[in-house]
Amino acid sequence: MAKNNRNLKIEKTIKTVRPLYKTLIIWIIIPLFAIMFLETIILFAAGMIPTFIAYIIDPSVKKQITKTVCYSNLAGCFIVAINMWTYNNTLDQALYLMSDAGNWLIMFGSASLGWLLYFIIRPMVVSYLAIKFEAKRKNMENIKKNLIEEWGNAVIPETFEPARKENMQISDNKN
Amino acid sequence: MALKKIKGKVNKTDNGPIVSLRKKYTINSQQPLPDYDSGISLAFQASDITAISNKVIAYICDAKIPARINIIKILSTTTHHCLVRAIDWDVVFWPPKNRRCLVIICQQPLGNKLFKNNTITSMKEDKIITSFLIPTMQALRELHNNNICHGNIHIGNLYITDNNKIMLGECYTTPAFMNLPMAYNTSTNSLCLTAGRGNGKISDDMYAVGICVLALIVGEDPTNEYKSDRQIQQNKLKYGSYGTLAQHYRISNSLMAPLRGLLNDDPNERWGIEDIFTWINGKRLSPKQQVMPPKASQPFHFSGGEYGTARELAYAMAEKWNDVFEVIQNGSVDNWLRRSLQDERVTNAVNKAKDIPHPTTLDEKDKLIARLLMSLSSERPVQLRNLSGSIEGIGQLIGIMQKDINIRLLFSQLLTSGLLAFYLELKPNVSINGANIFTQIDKVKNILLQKGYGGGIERIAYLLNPWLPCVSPIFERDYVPNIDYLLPALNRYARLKGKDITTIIDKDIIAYILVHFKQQLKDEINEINSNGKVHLKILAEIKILARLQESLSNKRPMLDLCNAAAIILEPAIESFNSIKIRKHVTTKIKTAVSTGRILDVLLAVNIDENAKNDDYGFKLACNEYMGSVDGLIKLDEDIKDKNNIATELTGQISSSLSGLLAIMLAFGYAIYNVF
Repeated sequence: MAKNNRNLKIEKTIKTVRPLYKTLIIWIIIPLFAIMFLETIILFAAGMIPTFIAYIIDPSVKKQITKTVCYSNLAGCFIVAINMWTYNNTLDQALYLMSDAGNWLIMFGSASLGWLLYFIIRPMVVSYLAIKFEAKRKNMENIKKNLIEEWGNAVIPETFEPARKENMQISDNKN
Repeated sequence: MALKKIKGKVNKTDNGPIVSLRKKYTINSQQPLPDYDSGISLAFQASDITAISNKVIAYICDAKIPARINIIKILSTTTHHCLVRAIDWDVVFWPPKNRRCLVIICQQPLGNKLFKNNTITSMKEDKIITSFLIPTMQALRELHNNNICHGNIHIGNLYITDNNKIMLGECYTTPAFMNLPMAYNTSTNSLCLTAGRGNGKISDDMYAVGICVLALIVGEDPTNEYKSDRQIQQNKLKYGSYGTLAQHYRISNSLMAPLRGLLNDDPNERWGIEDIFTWINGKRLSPKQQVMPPKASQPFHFSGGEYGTARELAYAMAEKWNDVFEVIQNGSVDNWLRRSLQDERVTNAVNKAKDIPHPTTLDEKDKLIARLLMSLSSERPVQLRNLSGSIEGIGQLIGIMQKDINIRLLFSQLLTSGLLAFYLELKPNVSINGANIFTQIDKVKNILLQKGYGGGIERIAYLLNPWLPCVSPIFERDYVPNIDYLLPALNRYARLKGKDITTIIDKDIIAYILVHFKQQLKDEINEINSNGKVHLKILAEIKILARLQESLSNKRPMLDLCNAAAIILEPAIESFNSIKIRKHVTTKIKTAVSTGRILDVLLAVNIDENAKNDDYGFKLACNEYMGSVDGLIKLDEDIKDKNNIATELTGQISSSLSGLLAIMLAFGYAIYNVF
């Protein structure tokens, strides 16, 4: 018991120790960039709000919806940022661009394109999965049927774990 | 009598009551010839198709008593006209008994039975010599030259020919001396069970001739005086054979000599064929006076009787077996032997018999009693309770009575108790035949310990009696006199049983095949006796039959047997897991059955290769089935988790598309803006 506690402490210690490069990035490079590209960061921080929201509401493990929204949102922000980078790359210019509703429309609209893409594709994926699962089930049932036809019931293992047996019964009932 | 037995039992077949034998003889099953019946063998009218002039009759042998078919070939070549010559034999379906029986075709006796109602007009010396003694001695000489004893000489088996010669009847439908009335047997043989008298000796035939001569002299059966065989036996032991049978008749001095010579109870002193011829030729021999056993000064009281000689006492003790141990224990036998009988030879023999550890179990007590009886009288056969037989006949006894449980147990006890060795110890001058039988028994007694197929009493019975037919219960309605008849009989059995057949081989058949089949069957027997799968045992049984069929010169197709093999092999086919293999084998077996060759059936099953493929394929199939079951379980889990999967997948697709579109848009706008 004591040994386990000790192990946990060691694990915690390991987790809390951050690598040097990360420390450098957080404390030196990011503040440096923030100082150097403040206007761009402010513009992107405001323009990427839909992505932050998507991140919060995204139920998927790998945050795929967030990625979808993020990519299209980034494209919108990029279009607005180009106007700043090619004309006057200053904080005033960034604030000026942010005061224009058209730019908000571009940034947020592009993010909504990501959502739109997701909602169009999802029903198609659901249908595809249903077809795929059905085909897979039929294939496996056929394999089972052929095996029983050739080898009789002796091929059915008698000693399945209870959970598996239960599952088998469920799958047989479905058939 | 015979007619009565048969009446109402005739079951007409396609051929009606006429039965054909080897397509050479026909036998009319509705024409019995009771005048020629011989004991349990019934005579029927027969005719030789190839030579009408040959008058023949057929003896239908009793299925439970083996006939002496081993001597028929020799007898068929004899030319002596005063011996009913055997011509041929075969096993045929006999309608009155509704079963297959052994039929022996023999020459029809040239006249009627000599004794009708056990009486005839008494004969003069000259007539006895010319009509009976000379032809009989010539016939016996011919037989004995071929090492055959007649074994069935008695007044009921004598026929009078046209030229007033007396003819000896058949001697081959039952084992020698088995059919012989007790009075015609020598003292040793009469103490044996009828099956245990063995093939006999020349002197045994001469003894029977002596009683026939006496009957011809007095014109009646000399045993008529006595009420029972037991009484005759008791008197023979008391007064000797001549004293018992001839004493109360007036016999001329000239005939007294051969009679005394022939009826001498000592086989070494008994007259032989040459002695008779010498006497006939005018040299009047005077037979040695028979030495009677010494008589005790005081009789021995045993179980309510008084006995003056050791052999009488032994006879009484054999009858009251359970009372003997007590008199041995209390020492009364020893006292009587020492004080009253005073026969040193018997006393020494009894002391030797008692020279074993004190018996405690019933078997040990039986052993002591058996040794005592053998030592009391040199004439006694080997006896253990109800089992008694001469040393030459003990093998035959177990051969004929092997189905008697009591006899089987006693025979096992006899072999393990060493009584036969003790018998030989007491009688060092036992016949060569007897010594051979003892050696044979000694060699085979270890087989008793083999309890499985191919061992036990059955094997010993066939080993000691190669002429014995197969007595398996499977052949209840058949007769298998030799190995060539075995497969056809099994084929008939299979036909009779049809689809209900469960077995085609048993312990008896295995033992019979092992004794008569020249090839080694060790592997098959080991397989049958192993504790393995039942179908493998069945396969081993079928394999034995297949090898037997292949070895026969006449490879007749055995369709029914093959069909039975196919039915019996069903468990073997069922043992294959693969339904495909089963169907394949079943189809192949059907084709194989139609050939009538058992080996083809075995090859169709091809158990080794098919079992190997089946095992391998089955393991793969099980794994595959398990895989598909696991796959289905996983699929069910996926279906349950379909939304999440759809979300993940949609996310992947949409993010990829979105990324692509974003890059295109951003680059497109950048390029547009720059240029």
